Amino acid sequence: MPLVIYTAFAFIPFAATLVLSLYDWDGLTSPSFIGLSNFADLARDAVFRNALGNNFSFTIFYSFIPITLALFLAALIADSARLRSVRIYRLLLFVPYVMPMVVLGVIWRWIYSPLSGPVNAVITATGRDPFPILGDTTTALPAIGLVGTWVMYGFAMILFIAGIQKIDTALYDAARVDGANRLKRFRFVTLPGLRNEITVALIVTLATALRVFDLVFVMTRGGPARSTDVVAFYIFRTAFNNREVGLGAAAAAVLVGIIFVASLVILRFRTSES
Amino acid sequence: MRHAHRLSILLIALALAATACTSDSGDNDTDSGTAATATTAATATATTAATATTAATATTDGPATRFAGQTLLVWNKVAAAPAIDEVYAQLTTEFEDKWDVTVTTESKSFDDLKATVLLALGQSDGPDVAIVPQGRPDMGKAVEAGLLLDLTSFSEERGWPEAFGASTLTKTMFSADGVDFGTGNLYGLSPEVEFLGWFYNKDIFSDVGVQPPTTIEELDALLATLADAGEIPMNAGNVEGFPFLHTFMSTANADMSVSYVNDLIYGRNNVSFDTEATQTAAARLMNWADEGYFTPAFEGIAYGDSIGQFASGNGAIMQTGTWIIPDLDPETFGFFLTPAISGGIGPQPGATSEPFTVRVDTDVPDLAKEYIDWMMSERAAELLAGVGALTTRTVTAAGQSALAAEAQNAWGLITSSDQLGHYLDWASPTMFDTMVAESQRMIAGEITPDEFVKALDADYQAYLSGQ
Repeated sequence: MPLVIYTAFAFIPFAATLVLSLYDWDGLTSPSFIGLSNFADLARDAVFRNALGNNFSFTIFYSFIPITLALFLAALIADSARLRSVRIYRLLLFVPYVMPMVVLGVIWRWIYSPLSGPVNAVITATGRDPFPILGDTTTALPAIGLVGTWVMYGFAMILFIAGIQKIDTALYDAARVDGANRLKRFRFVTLPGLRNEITVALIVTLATALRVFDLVFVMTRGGPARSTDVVAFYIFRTAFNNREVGLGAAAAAVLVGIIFVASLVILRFRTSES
Repeated sequence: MRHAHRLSILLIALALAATACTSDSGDNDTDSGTAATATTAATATATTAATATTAATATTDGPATRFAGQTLLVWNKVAAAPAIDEVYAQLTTEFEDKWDVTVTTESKSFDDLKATVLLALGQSDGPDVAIVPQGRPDMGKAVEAGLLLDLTSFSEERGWPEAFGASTLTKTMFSADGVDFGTGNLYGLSPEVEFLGWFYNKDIFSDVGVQPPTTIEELDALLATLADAGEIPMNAGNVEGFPFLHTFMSTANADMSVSYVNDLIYGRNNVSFDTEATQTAAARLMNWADEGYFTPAFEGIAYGDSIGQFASGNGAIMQTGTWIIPDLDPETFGFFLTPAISGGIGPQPGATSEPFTVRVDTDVPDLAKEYIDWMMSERAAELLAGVGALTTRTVTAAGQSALAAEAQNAWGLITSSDQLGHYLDWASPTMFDTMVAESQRMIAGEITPDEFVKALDADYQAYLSGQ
């Protein structure tokens, strides 16, 4: 049954995308087979390369910062039986993750707004001019990225808290008796105990960073000057606005390929660790 | 195992996300080998292609019984205001009563229409009358695929060219193969219009003691006076990129001739984006930005928020499209067109709304054409204008607000003086993206106005050479 579902909803559409990527097609008239030309066009397209580069920048905000932060906090609570059992964390941490990204985008657009947003309220309270956070090429990407950090940090934290519950507290006691300090206890007890959770967090957050669309669409439309343009938005524009379905499919295939390879690398790394 | 399972779920999600965009087209792909040629109607469904026929010529039965008992399926778009939707419903009922027919209307959002209407027009049970987005990527493709009925002779029969102006109609005209835009056959029309202009706050204008400008130099001076008086001269919000472009397009259009801007958009006579008009307009806007005439930090303000600001009394002028009229208090705000350098008006960017078209292989082509003609009628214009819509046919209507009447009169002036210009991003499929990105670079000081204009021309020339 799972195989049937997988075939129907994932494999067939994906295969169709791969086939489409070899055609020049406007979605209406007869497609013409053009081999790998779409991929060659992508390789030459500075707009596509820029979008892909921005996706990689987003991985820092969606993946590395939140996981590092979550690991740090996990380390703090891991060897304290008292902190471990606090359940309210889970609720608070999970709220951003379950909210639709479009809603978060609207909220954060307001937070950053030069008109009435709290961030600019602080800036103008210090006597400075309001700053166009989402309209400046240097700040727009980090501003969106921080929303990703906020969401993904909660997600990673939930995973890690769950993982910590499974680590026997006796291991920490034993480590203490052996004279291991906090850093060593983290390195030799917490980190190995969370290996599976870290793997999952890495794959999910990296994939999210590479697929990001909604926040960008709601907050900046890829601007200013393409500084927040991403591959998913590029696919949307080429396939739907410009009706270059084949080129959009090729970009989608590249994106899936990158996510697939990244996931494989992470899984391979985990297997070799254990 | 659990992780392998999670991974497979993840992969499913990824594949879905990456392919959702093409899932419906994936079905078509299997048909593509046998798909109909570009001149038949139903390329998207090869199975129905055989049924494609050209429209029967008009019959000569008496009007009231001519279509008796026939049914019509219409895809309309959800209107900007509920009152406008109600007017369309009323007009439809009147049409049904007049011809003793049944009309089923399905209202779709613009995004829905854009995504589905061309595919639906290829189906044998598709809409008989449908709104199709304007321009090459949608309407041009529909013509190329042979999906739309040629309305040229019908429109001449019903006097559309005289009633609505030649340049109004060219925006829905294509050659029969869909290649040449702005010429050839007429494929649709809308009873509503949208165009760009300048809204101003009458209270602020009277406080400062200024009047709407009649030349572009007066506009420069007006903004300086407003700034000196401590007002925000130009309310703006440009996160999405297009609002600043609209100001650029308006000032650039006003300085061109109608024939030049037509050539530019329709890709004729090897014209260029690098002109005195575009150079001057870009430099003027950057000068305004440098002088601080726009709302502080306007680069980071969303367009929707900026409309709210203006409506609540912040900023003396907002340059944008007539679609914001429902958001403004009609007594407080006035409207003027972009003044040309030497006074009077030059071309003004604008167009009818997304047009009604007829599916080429509809069973009821004459009824479908009658429906569109009814929507273009004086009666329709009066009802639509009465609820605040701007109409292709300029009428005076009871209930029209002072602001809407002012804008409607401006439209009447544009068409009567044949000064309908263009949204310049229609010039190539990628022009909108190029304009947004390059104008934002210009605002950020990364490139000069001259480099901005040259970047637009590079996009344009690349498109022309690929044609």
